[in-house]
Order: sequence, then C-alpha cells, then structure tokens
Amino acid sequence: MLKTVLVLACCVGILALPLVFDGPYFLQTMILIVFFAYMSCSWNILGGLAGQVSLGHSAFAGIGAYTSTLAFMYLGLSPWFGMIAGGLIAGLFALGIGCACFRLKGTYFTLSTIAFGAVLRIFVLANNSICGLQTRGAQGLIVPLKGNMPSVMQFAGKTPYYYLIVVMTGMVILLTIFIRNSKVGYLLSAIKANQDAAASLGVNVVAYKQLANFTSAFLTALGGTFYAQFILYIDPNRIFGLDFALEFVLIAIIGGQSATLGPVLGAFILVPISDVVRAVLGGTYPGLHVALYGAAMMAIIMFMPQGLIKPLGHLGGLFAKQRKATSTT
Amino acid sequence: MLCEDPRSNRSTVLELAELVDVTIKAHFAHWKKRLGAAAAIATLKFRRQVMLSQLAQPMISGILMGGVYGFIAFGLSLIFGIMRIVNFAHGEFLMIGMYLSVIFWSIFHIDPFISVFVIGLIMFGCGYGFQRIFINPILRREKQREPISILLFTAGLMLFLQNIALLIMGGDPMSISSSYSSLMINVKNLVISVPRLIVFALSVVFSGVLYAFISRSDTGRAMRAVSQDRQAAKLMGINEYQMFALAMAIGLAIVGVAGTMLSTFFYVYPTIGAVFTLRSFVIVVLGGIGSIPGALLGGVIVGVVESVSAQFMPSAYAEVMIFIIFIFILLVKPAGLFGLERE
Repeated sequence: MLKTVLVLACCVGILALPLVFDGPYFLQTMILIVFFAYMSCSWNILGGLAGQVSLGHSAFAGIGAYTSTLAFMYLGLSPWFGMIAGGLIAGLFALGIGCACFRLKGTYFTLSTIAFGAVLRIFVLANNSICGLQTRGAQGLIVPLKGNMPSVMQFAGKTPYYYLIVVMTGMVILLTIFIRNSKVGYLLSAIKANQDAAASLGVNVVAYKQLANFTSAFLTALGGTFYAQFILYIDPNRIFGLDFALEFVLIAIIGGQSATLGPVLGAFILVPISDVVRAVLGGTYPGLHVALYGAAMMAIIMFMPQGLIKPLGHLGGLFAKQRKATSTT
Repeated sequence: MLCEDPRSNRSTVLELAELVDVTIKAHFAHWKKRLGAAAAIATLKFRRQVMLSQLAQPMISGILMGGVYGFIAFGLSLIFGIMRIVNFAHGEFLMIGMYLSVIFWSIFHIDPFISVFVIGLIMFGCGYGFQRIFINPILRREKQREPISILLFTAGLMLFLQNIALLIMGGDPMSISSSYSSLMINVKNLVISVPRLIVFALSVVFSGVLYAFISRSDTGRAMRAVSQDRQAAKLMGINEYQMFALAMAIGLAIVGVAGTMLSTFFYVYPTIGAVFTLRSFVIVVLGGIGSIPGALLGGVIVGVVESVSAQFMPSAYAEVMIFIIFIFILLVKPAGLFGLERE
C-alpha cells in the first residue's frame, strides 16, 4: 500500500514538475537527467539483468541518431519512424557482436564491444559520405530545423521534450519490471549468477543473452534519436565515444544495477552534481567533474557494490526487497 | 617539276605534306612505343624500389614500435593472466610513468635512461600498494563471480587519473628534448631513429629478464601456479593475494619503465594512455593471455600492421585495421596465437 502511494507520488511529482518550475535551464537539466536515466535503464537490461557489461553502447546511440537523421534528410521520413528503423539496425548490429562474442565469457564480450564501438566511430569520423549519403565526417550532422512540428519530433519549448523522455523512461522501467518477473528474467538472472550452471541445466544461454542484447541496443538507439532531435546536432566524437558509453555504465553502477530503479537514482544524483561542478569549477579546474565521476565510481564499487539504492532508505529498500524476492525464488 | 595548274600543284604539295605527316607520325608512334616501353620498365623498377623502401621503412619503424607495444602489453597480460582481471587504467599508469620522466628531466635534470630505474621502482611500489589496498579486497569479496566489477573499478580509475593529470599537468603535450632525441642512423636509404632502437632493444632485454624470472624462479613458478589453478596453488601453501600484488607491482613497473623510455621520443598528454590501453588489449588477445612470447610477437604484428597500413590508406583506417585483427582473432582463435584453450 505504502509502496503504491510512494510510486504514485513520484509519478505525479515528475509529471507535474514543468508546471511548477519552468525555467529553461532547469528544464534542460531535468531533460538531461531523465535522458541519462533512460539510457542507463536501457543499458541495464543487458548489463544489470543479464550481467553482460557492454562498454560500446554509445555505438547504438550513434546508429539511432544517424539513421533517423539521415532518413529524415534524404527520405523525408519522420524521426518517429526513423527511430524505429534506427533501433532495428542497432539491434541487428548488436546481434552481430553477440554472435561473435557470446560464445566467450564476460570480459571478452566487454573488450569486443569497445572494439566494435571504436571501429564504428573511426569509420564515421573518417568518411564524409556513407553509402552515398552525406555524413560530413567529423563535422557531424545538423538536424534540419523545422520549427514547431510535432510530426517530425521537433517542438517549440522544452516541456514536450521533457514529457517525451519521461514517457520513454517510464516505458523502459515497465519493460524492465515485466522482464524481471517473467520467465526470461529468471533465466537471465541465472545466466548472470553462473553461466555454466545455467547452460548445464539446459538454458540456451546464447539465445537469451542475444534477446537481452537486442532489446538493450534497440532501446539505446531510440534514446540516440531523441538526443539528436533534442540537441538538433550530432557530434560523432561524442555520440560514438567511449566516454558517453561509460557515463551510462557509471550511472547504472552508482545507482545500483541490480535494482530496477537504480539507474534512475544514479542519474538523479550524478547528472546534477557533474552539471554543477562543471558550471562552477569547469573554467578554473578543467576535467574535475570527470575526475569526480571516476572517484565516485571507484568508491561505490569498493564500499557499496549494490549501489546507492541499497542503503538509501525506504524507497530503495522496498524495491530491493522486491528484487530479493524474485531472485531467491 | 612544277605544273601549270595551280590546283594540281596544290594537291601535290598537300600529298607531300600528308606523306611527311604520316611518316613523322609513324616514327613518332615507333619511338613512342619504344620510349613508352623503356619508361614503363623504368617506372616499374622505380616503383618496386619505392615499394621496397615504402615497405621497408614502415616495417622497421613498426617493428621498433611493436617491441615497446609488446613490452607494455606484457604487463597487461601478466595481470590479466594471473588475476583474470582487466586493468583499464593500464595506459594511464603508462601516462604517469611518462609524466614522472618529464618531471625528473625538467626539474632534476636526470636523463630518462637513468631515471628509468627510479621510476620503475616507484611504480612497482605503487602497484603493490594499489593491489593490496583496492583490488585485493574486491577480489576477496567477489571470489565466486567473474570480476567484472574490477573492470569497472579500473575504468573509473582511468577517468580519474586522466582528469587528475589534466588538472595538474595541463592539456598541452610535453616532451623531453635531449641531445640524442633526433639522432638517426642511415642504412641503405633507411632511416632508423637511435632512441627508438635503444628503447626497442631495452624492451626486448627487460622482457627476456622477466620471462626468465617468471619461468625459472620459485616466485615466478608460484605466480604461474596461481594463474593455472588457484585452489591447488593455495593447497601448496602459496599466498594467492601476495602473488596478485606481486603481479600488479611487476605490471606497473613495466609500464613505468616503458613510459619513461617512451618519453624520449613521444609527446605525453593526459589522454595518451587510451591509445596504449586499446593496443595492449588487442595484443594480449592476439598473442594469447598470459603468454610472454605471444605478447612480444603480438606487439610486433600490431606495430607493423599499424605503420605499413598507414602507408596505403588514411591513418584512421590503419587504426581500424588493428581492431579488425582483434575481432578476427576473437572469432577464429579466441585463445590467441600462443594461448592455451582454457575457456
């Protein structure tokens, strides 16, 4: 009962936020927080549920952003459909990586995701056109500005973007809860706990890992499209970069990767802190906010391997309890 | 024999002119053919020579660089092989070694080839402490699981060290300019940089010494035992965490030494480590995890591929080539060239 009330209160609070505070800077920060929560939750389907740590997820975000934007520029396809196309391409790409690496154990998978991400980044940076489409190499792509046109995912104010990413995040969270409570979720947590044991019990390890991999890449690519439409510019060095991928991972780890809401918590803590540090100290001490990220990540892994959601009292406890109930049965 | 009719006259002249023209054309064609053939042969010869020098020069610089790559990767391979953990901050420790060398040079005026021993010792101590304080507790806690959290820990460390270096040293590239920095020797049109040659030779010598240590000494045997079977090694009375700390210490000493030597001909800047970390991963997987000859050979292969392919394609693709090798090896022979099929 209490849990339902709390969840409802949080939902109402998040939905009502732009009505109460509507400064553009505040909304911008909120959108970025929820965006990173979304990306982190998407990563967590593979990283948290299946226990396969990918450091190449920025590649999927990049594929999503480039696909939808190029389809919009050359085919006139609305990014609403372009994002689905981008998601499917990213998913296929992820299946390819999985085919190559899921025969091997965790570390190899992590290393090869980095390699695939790096290959894609260099490829996009070095080519001015891909398959006859102008991608302008390192200059990046500028999304054609159409003004206030919801049919092509461009809005006048920031509020619609906020609601869009909140809805997307809500859907990912619901999907995560659904997976967690389904048979697939149990199989994935078995694979995470001990891959060999799961395989010996007849679980098709590779197939389920691929399923999580595809879902995660698909959702990440959708987030990439959103990012491109929100910023209206794609910087290939950023969107394909290892740093971008590390940010999703960091947020999920710091928040708590085994709890459904862990990544959301991580984003709500980390993104504002790094924003403030960057704004206040970025000029005099360049790089300090990233150093803080790194230090926070090390401290969390050392002292709170379950993430911040574990000790963070009531709400965290409730969700962790639910998780425990599912993992022990 | 001029005719009266001016028209016929003209036609004769025209005919004559035509004849001359045809002859000249024929001659030209003939000469053109001969000249063309000669030129073609000459260009062929020239091209072959160019090809040779175009290949030989990058081959040599690739091998010289590859030796250092191999030495650095050997440090990673040791850590990877014995503890089964991925050290993402490997390149960042190299960066620290390079900065230390620059500091020793610019403040105390100590030559890198002398400070290399001091820095090696400093990094050895750092590695030992780092393992004891940070990594061993995590390893103890997560005995049953694959140590993915250590990978993430070192990724955090990577971000931390990169940006701390940016804070302290600034983003501008730094280098050491000593009397021998730009020394070259010429051998048959090939230019060989003296510091690179010395660094290559030292890398090979140091690797050889470490190889002897790990394969011959009791401590080395104990380390290998831990990497093969932790339980059995424990039953034989080997303190596995002691061995882990030793492996990390040696690994960091290697990058300290390599970084110091590299600083004689390489610029150092805060993010330089990432280049070497990625190369080292590729080399370790290529050569086989834990294999020292594999690391050295893998280093040379990566060095040669990198510098030779940079001759024939844009340098961005040369980097892609390295990753393609990596992915190819993972697909075809995940155990690497010298690795044992363990997993």
